[in-house]
Amino acid sequence: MSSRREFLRTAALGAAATTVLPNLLKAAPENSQNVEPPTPGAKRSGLIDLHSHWFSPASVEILSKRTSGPNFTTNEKGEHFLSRSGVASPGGANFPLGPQWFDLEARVKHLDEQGVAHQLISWPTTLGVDAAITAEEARELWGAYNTDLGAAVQRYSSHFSGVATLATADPEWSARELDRAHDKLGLIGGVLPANVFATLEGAKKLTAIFETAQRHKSLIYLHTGSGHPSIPGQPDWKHGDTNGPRSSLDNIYNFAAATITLAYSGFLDAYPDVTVQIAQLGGSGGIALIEELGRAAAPRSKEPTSAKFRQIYLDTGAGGRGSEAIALAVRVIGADRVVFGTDYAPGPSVAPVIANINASPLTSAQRHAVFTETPRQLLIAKGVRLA
Amino acid sequence: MSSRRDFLRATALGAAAVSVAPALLRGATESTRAIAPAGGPDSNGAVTIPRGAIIDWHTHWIGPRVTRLLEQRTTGPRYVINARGERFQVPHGSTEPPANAKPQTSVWYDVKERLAHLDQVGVERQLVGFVGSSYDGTLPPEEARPLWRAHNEDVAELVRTYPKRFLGLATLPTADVAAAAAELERAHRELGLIGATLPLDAFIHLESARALAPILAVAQKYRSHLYIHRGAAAPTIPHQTPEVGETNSYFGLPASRQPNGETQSVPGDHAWARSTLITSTHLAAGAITLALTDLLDPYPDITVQLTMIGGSIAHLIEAVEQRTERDGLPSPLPKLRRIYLDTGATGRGPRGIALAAKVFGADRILFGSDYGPWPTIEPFVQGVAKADLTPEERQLIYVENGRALLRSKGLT
Repeated sequence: MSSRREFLRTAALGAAATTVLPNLLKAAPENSQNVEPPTPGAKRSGLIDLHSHWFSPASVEILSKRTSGPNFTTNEKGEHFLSRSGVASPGGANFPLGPQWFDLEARVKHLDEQGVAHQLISWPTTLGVDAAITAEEARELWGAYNTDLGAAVQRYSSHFSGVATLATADPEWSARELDRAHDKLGLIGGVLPANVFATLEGAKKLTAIFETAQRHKSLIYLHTGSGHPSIPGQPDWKHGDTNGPRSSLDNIYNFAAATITLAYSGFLDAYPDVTVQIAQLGGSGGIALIEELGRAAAPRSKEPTSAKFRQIYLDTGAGGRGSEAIALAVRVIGADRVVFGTDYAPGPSVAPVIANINASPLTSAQRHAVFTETPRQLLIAKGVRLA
Repeated sequence: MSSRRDFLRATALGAAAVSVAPALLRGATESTRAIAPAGGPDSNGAVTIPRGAIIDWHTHWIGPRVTRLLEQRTTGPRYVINARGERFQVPHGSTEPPANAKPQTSVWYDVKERLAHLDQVGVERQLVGFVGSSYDGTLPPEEARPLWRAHNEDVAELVRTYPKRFLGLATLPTADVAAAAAELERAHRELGLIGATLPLDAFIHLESARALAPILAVAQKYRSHLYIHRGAAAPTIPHQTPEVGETNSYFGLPASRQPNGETQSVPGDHAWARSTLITSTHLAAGAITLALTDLLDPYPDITVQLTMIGGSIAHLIEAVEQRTERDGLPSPLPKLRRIYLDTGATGRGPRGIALAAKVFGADRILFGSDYGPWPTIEPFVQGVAKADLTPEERQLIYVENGRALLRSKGLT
């Protein structure tokens, strides 16, 4: 995003596209002859990134006081880590935390350079902290983090929105915290680890949160990771070989299982005003396979895709580097349900994901929808004032 | 197989069956196939389907010897055939079919009907195999042995009778790996089969698959084609993970009512979507074992086919590439291209086929219909026709990949 004028022009084009081309943004036919040629290096502006993470000062302070994992550590070279001994999460025991995890000024500069007009910030549930701490510890940590995040989005209101971190060990407290997030902190919803939604049984443990979310028309963000062990039905993967690819497969399964719970079971029927955003394209395209086969072969799955995904958005997240997976999700689920997300902070730059979406075989209208128009409409519906 | 006496008894049964089987097989005659003009458009718009030349790599069939043996059994698995000639399957542990049982469709066993359908759809040749004939995990090994041997002799007879229409795979028992290796040897040397089918559950973990090393050694010797199809392996295979099952700990879901049965429905939930996710994940786990571990390194001349387009493996590749790129490791794609994927029951999903062709390469995809369980091939032909592929890629999938694979086996 190089100028406000450019952004307004893009937004106007987007509004026009949404008005006249709604059918193009819906699930498209198989033939992709009208896709744009790949333009990996194209400069864009007005992008809205709904997948990014941040470590707040209070969260660093609280995690630094802990003497065992998960705790925040700094080595003699001044490098920061989240030490996760005893935490079952991918990425190793000491997860490195570069400066992009902390510095919002530098982040704004980077986003401006890359044409990202606005970013949604959440806690990185991938790191497994919520699964490894007690309810009491979670209440202290997440309460402090949410207060920091509220202050950050108020300070950088044109650049950032935020969702509160909720404690899966204490859904009742989380419901009250979601109230506070909306009423006092200026946040637009909450983030929860996707694995707690792997089964309907697990999701039902979180009804208190969803009842509150319905009142506030919250955005509930499902991000990578497990919740507290008290939530049943969470996948428990153990592998003896080829750990890398098998972990990637676990990730697809976990997200697709959560997407089934939210899109295919009747779980969301009681919460029609809640919007759910699911990272990693809801399973890196795995959910597209299920939806396509369901439409083709299963008489019990005849509900239109648009109805199943009415409240659900899929973000490109780390899967945003898979250009074919993005295209498949757009074709099967629809560009009006796929949103740009960079997974910034674990990734030190948003540029690779932008390049990958540029390289994805999409039409120009679909690409604009993913980058800007669909996330823009989502944020506006949640009361975010965009420039 | 527990004793030499059992073996001789089984052989005698097999020999008896052989003497009556050819007549049943001869009931069908090779007919002239309706072949569409080369290069002409099909009913599916401008897409050209090479009717008359399609090779179907995923089909199942139950032959007369197996039918006879199943009829003779008094408890399930067995067949009950009524006065109208309709067959009813009796499940394991029962003596009669369930009250609401529907007869098995004739496409499972009627060769004449099958050939007529192949002609109608334009399938030149089919690969026939059936992992279920091993009865692994269903019957004790000594009871199962006559059945899988009979199946292999049935398929051999079918291939001998219609050499231009069928290719055959042996069914091998994982309950007795040494016997399975010997049977694969027999399949190549005596039965004229091109390889064997093995159950997916034995390939979810590397440790399970390594238990099949004697089979793989014989397969290397004969340059076998191994078809990995969904199915349960014998309980003796270590570290086995059923697709769903009694414990279901792998997936954190309620136990299904039978091994590899559909996931039990939870009120308010969507069992079909859950089952599809589990199956697609299970298949992708098998693809990882087959392609990304060192399992097949000592067996470079074996060709391996994984069913149902490898489930979600094509969706996984980009994520794996991202991870290997981050870790400075080589791309997994060259190793993944070690295996062939057939369209199978997922062949009705054109976008999934297109994705697999894009990320794997269209030269690794074989057309397969799952004919037998599915009563018609045409939806699967249309699945490939509707996929966003170039005409050349479609031709590879329908015909050329299969021809190249057969040429590698010395077949034309």
